[in-house]
Amino acid sequence: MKRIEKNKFYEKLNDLIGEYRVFAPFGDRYRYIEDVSEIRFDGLLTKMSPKAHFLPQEEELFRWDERENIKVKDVNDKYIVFGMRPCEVRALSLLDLVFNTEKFPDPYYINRRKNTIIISIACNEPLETCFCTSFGYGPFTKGDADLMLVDMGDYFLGEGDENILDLFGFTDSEEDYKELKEKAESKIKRIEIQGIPEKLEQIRETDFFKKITQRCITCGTCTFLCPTCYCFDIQDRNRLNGGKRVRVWDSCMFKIYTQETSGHNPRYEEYRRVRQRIMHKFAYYPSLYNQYGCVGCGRCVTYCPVNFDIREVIREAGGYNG
Amino acid sequence: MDNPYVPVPMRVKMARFESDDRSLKTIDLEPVEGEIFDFMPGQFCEISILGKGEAPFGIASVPWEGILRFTINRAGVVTTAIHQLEEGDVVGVRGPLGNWYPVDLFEGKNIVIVSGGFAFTTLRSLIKYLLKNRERFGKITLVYGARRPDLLLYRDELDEWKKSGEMDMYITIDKPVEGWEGYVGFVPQVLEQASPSPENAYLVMCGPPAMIKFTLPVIEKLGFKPETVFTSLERRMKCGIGKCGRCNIGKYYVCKDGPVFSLDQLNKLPKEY
Repeated sequence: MKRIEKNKFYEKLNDLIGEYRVFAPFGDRYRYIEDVSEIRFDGLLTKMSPKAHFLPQEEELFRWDERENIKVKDVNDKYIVFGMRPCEVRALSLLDLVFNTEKFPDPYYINRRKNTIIISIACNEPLETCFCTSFGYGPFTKGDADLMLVDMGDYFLGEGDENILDLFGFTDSEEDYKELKEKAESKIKRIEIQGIPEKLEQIRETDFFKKITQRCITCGTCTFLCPTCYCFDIQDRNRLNGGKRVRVWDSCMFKIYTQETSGHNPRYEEYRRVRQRIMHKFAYYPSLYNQYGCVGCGRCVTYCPVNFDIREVIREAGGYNG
Repeated sequence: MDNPYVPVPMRVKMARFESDDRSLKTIDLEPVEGEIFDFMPGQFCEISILGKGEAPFGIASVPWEGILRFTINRAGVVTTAIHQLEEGDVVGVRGPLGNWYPVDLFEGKNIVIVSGGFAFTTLRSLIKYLLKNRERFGKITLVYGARRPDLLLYRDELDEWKKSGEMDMYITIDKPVEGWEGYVGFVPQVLEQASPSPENAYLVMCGPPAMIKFTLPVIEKLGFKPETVFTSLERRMKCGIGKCGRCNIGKYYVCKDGPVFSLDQLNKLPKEY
C-alpha cells in the first residue's frame, strides 16, 4: 500500500491545476477549480453527479459561420476529476458501453474520457440510501479509476497507477484498509436483484407499472441526477453570423422526448415513461450488456420530491403476482 | 476518428413537388465533393438544415443512380425548411444509418410489397434493387395505394414498371376518380383480392398506422408467418446512431437496430411505436 499526507497531496494537486483542468466537488455539484481551497465536500455524495464532466449538460458539437462552413472545436485539454466515488466510477464504465462503441464511437465523450485522470475516494461511511453492493462491487472498488484514495484522517492511502502515485509522491506503507472496507460494506443494505430482469419482462403488460406510476410526477429530477442516465437532445442555436449545434441533457420522463411531429407519441402515458426508466436500467441494460444500468448511488431516492424509491419498486416487482 | 455528428454537404440536384397539394416534395441530392456513399434499400439519412435542425428520412434511391432521393411530407420546422429548397442549394446529410431490408434472405423467394401513401419511399429503393437483380428473386407482387392518384409517388415509374411486366401490380386509390383505370379500394381489401401465396414468400409492408392495423389481419389470413413479414418503423430521432436514447422499443433502438424489423421481433416488444 502507498500513503501520502493530505496537505502534501492537495499541494501537488494545486500545482497540477494549469497543466490539467481539475474538476472537483464544490458543495452540491462539481466544478472546474482554480485552487484546491475551493474544494468543498458537503456529505458523501454531491447532488449533481460528476458525469457532467464527461457529458456536459450542454456541449457544442460544431459551429458554423455565415457561409455555413462547419468547424468542430479542437479540444486538447487534459483533465483530472478528483473526488469521484466508486459508484460514479462504475457509472462511467456503463456509459462507455453506449458511447465507446465499435460502430459510431462518440468522439466527444471518448476524447474527455481518454484525457481525464480519475482520482476516486473510497466511502468509509456509506449513506442510508447507498445500495451499491447489490451490483457486485462496493464502496472500496477502484474500478476504472486511475487512483483510488482511502481517507485515513490526516493522510490518504492510495492504490492505482504507479506513475500517478509517483507524480504525487506517495510513499510505501505497511497499512491496509481491510477493516474500513469491511465495516463500510457491512453498513450497506443490498436490494435483491436476482431474476429481476426476467421478472420485469414478465410483468411488463400488467398493472404493475400503472400502480407505481401513481407515486411519480415524471419531473425528471432522477434522470438529471443519475450518474448513468445519458439521454440527450440535439438543438441548433442561431447567432448573428452563423450558429452552433449542441447536445443537451434530456429525459425519458418528459412527454416531449418521444413526441412526433404528427402528434403521435408512443410513450404518451406516464406509466410508459416510468416503465421505460425502470426497464432500461433493470431489464434492457442487462439484456444488452449483461450489466445493470443502476449503480446504487441512491441519488434518485434522496432527491425525489415525492419519495419515489427505486429500491421499493424493485422489491415490489420481485414479489408482484398481478 | 470520423465524427458521426457532422453532416456532409450535399447539393440539391433536383427538387419537385410530388403531389398537387404540394404537401410532398421530392429532392435529389449529390455530394458537393466526391462520390455518393454506398447504401442498401431501407436505410435512412439525417438531413440537416443548419439553424433549423435535423430529421431522419428513408432513402428512396439506389446507389447506382448517383443521387440520394428523398420524398418529404411537410409537417414541422425541418421539413418546412426542406420544402423551401431549390436546385443548387446545399444541405447537410448524415448517413447511411440503420439496417436494411434483408435482401439476402429474400434470394430465390417470391416478394410481396404492400404500401400506402408516402411511406412508399424506401420501397422504391427496394423495388429498384430487386429489378436490377431480377433473376435472383421469384415473383414480385406490389400492392400500393393512396387516397388520390396525385398522392401516389413516382407515377412515371409505376407506369414503366407496369409496362415492363416484371411485377404483378395492384395500384389502388381510396375513391373512384374520373380517368382512373387502376383499382379502387383500401390496401387491405386489394391485398385480399390479390391474394398472394405465402408459400416460399416474404412480405414487406410500409404504410400509415391505420393501413397497418387493418392489413395485419389480412396478412395473417393469407397465411404469412410473422418471421416472413418485414416492416420499417419511424420514431422521433435525434442522433440516429443509438446514443441519444429516445427511439428505443424495448432493448432495440429503431435508428441502429432498425428501422427494419420482422413482425416476429415486434410481437415480442412493448407496443411503443
